[in-house]
Amino acid sequence: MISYEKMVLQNGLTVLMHEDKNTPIASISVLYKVGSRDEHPEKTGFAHLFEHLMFGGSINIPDYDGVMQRAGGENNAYTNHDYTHFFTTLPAINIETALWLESDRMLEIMLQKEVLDVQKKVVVEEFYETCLNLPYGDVWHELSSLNYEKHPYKWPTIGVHPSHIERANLTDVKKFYNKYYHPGNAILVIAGPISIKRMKELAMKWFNDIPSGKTIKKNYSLEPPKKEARHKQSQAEVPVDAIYMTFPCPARADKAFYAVDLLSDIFSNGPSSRLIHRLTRENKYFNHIDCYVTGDFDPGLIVFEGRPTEKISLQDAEEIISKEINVLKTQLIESTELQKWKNKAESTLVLSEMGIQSKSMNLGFFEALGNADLMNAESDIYQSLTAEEIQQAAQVWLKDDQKSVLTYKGK
Amino acid sequence: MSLNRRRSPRVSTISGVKLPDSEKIFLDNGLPVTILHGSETEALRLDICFNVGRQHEHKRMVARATASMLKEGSSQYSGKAFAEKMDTLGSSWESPVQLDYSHFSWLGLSRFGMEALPVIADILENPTFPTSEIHAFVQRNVARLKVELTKPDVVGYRTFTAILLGENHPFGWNSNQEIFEDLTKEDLQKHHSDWYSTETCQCFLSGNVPLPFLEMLNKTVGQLFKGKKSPPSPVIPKVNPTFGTTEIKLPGTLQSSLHIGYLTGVRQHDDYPTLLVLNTILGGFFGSRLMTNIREKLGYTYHIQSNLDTYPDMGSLWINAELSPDYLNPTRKEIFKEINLLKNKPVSTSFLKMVKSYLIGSELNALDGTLQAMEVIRERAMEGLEKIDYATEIEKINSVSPFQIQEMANKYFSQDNFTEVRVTP
Repeated sequence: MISYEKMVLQNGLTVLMHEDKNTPIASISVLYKVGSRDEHPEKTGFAHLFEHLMFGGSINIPDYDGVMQRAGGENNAYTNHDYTHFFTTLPAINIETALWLESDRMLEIMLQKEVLDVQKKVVVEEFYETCLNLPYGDVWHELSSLNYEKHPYKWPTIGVHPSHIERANLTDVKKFYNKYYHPGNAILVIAGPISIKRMKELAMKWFNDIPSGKTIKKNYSLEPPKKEARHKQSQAEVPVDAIYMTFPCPARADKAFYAVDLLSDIFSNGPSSRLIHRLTRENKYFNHIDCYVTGDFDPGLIVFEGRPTEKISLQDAEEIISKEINVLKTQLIESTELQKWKNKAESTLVLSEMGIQSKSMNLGFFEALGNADLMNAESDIYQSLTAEEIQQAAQVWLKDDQKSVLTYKGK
Repeated sequence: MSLNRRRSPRVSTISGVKLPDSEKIFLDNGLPVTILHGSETEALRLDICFNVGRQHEHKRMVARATASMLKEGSSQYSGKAFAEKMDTLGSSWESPVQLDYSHFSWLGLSRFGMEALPVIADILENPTFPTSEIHAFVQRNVARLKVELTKPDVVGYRTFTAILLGENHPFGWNSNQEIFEDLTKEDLQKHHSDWYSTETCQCFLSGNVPLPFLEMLNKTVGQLFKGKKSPPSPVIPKVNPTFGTTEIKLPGTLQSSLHIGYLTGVRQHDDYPTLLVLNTILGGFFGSRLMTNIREKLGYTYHIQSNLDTYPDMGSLWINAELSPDYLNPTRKEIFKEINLLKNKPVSTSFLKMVKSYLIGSELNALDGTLQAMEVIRERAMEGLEKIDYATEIEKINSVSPFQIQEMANKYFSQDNFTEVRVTP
């Protein structure tokens, strides 16, 4: 259970505050509700590139990192389909420095051509390092385009191609900043050994005078159901065979999400889970197998990924996984097995509340999803799931005609 | 009055960074248990560490294989029963790979801890190492290795450590298919029987620790290996470094990798705190010289960093970057420019102050939360730092002078004694 208080400033900024007396550290996080799903299809990778630019100095503070480091702070950020999250931890005594920095880059950043040019190069190198030059590194490019035709999830956050990033210009960047980086599109979380009263004062002091921006109308194209299963064999050169099988997954805030999430646990969240036990231990069909959900804000994916052992062909691998899926669809799960994964879900939630930074980031995430209270409600939701609901989720979400299969043939 | 946004809020110097108070008890068999209580959540973690690693192996890779294979079954529990128990308790059992010691970690909720203990104790003392599971372990690792060896950074680091330490040094050699395939059940049994004992073992307990759990810990883990002694620890052969540049071809790679490094001392050495500051200045954080110059000013790479590795008998400081082949030589030039600058000119006091603030802040950060703080305590214990006071080390970091940094740069960054590995298409 995480207790917190919420206030909304007149400029629209949502502020969540959590007091924890047991740590010497404060955590500040700012979540902007903009991700790669907000990009233009010809200018992909932009939200992530922009995340890099947020460290290039703001209107009153040219050297973001220097100031942060002098205060003993560590900070970083990440971008995904749905949002961009900036987070800082620093000794609580210097918390005001972090608020000063965050508020100033929300007010106005210095958009200089030199900074843009360097960060374009850095991001292109990141593109090579994390996607193009890794075996299976293009998997999210492939899975995104295989699964989505209409919805902007059809490209990964890094972008379709490095050329999109190379083409970014200062005008685009300014427009993007003005549209998305303003108080009404952001959530600020302050957490640490500081009274809520003081947090309120500081948030008001530094953020209240930032002008509000225009409300953004978000309207993403819905992805229609597939007409039939899709198959693709990647042409990439890889060392060993691999298979990725996906199905649609409910949106993260959808009630249906929880049963599907637990399904993925039943399949692979531990050594006794069905896929890991039956397919890597009892039968040595795979060297590696995993099942997980993407948990995106819009309907995402349930992903099965496996690297079969040498004697198993990719076709066999697909059949073996499908067979396990069918078992869950046709046979009700035993109560002891279900309870096992509920226990695991409970541990996972408890462990996600360790440390001030993860608490702060979780609060921001759930507030962006709709309501931070959800964070405290999830444990009960998992515990209330029944065997029938699990079976039904398998039948509804793991439909044969909605699957996509991507394979890689090893050298 | 309107807000002056150009004026920084007051920044305070961080002081009083210290480890939280832990407690140490001894079980019936003499095993030391360090305990850090913290009841902010129901989480409980038990780490069991054996001071047994590559330096103790009679055959390559046997230490890691033994650690990984314990969970595959014991006299009372099959591998399946063990897995089932851990998952049913909503918990996890991991054996993170370490080169110089063997580490096991149970993580779960406090109320389930008692039930886990008898099972854990049995696999620690009476593992069966089924042949079929050893075979699967080998197969998994050979497949994983095939994938890893296509990555320039992995190929670079492997080659780099082999050349810097020597291929016959326990921390210098690299795994390959033959080494994995050569492992037998008897090897694992011998390694376990020789080295898993009360003399080599210590435990760390953190989080929500109820009293009955401690009693059960004593009834189970506290009865292990009674009277069992290990042979004297082997003498680690001397490092046999080769200096100079080695180029490895990795056909088809789109990026090159670069490793440049120097031998340094052990973690317990007096130089370490100063070396840590030097490493941080050079490439240990976002504001470091290498990051600022090579990434943020020139845009040659996404990541460039310098690192400190420490082993029981020595240490190393090494720089690495992954970058487009076109940027390889310009980057190399810039790296040596930065190294020479550190040797020839003292760093400014204001920059040094920033680095210290960052370092102390990140030390404090690492102590956020009971389980995290225990990791710091455990790592220090495993690095043989129990006699070196944490607060004193922090104080040393705080008092390092620009002159000492320059002196340290000259001591370790020798013109001729560096090892460089370039992986190129």
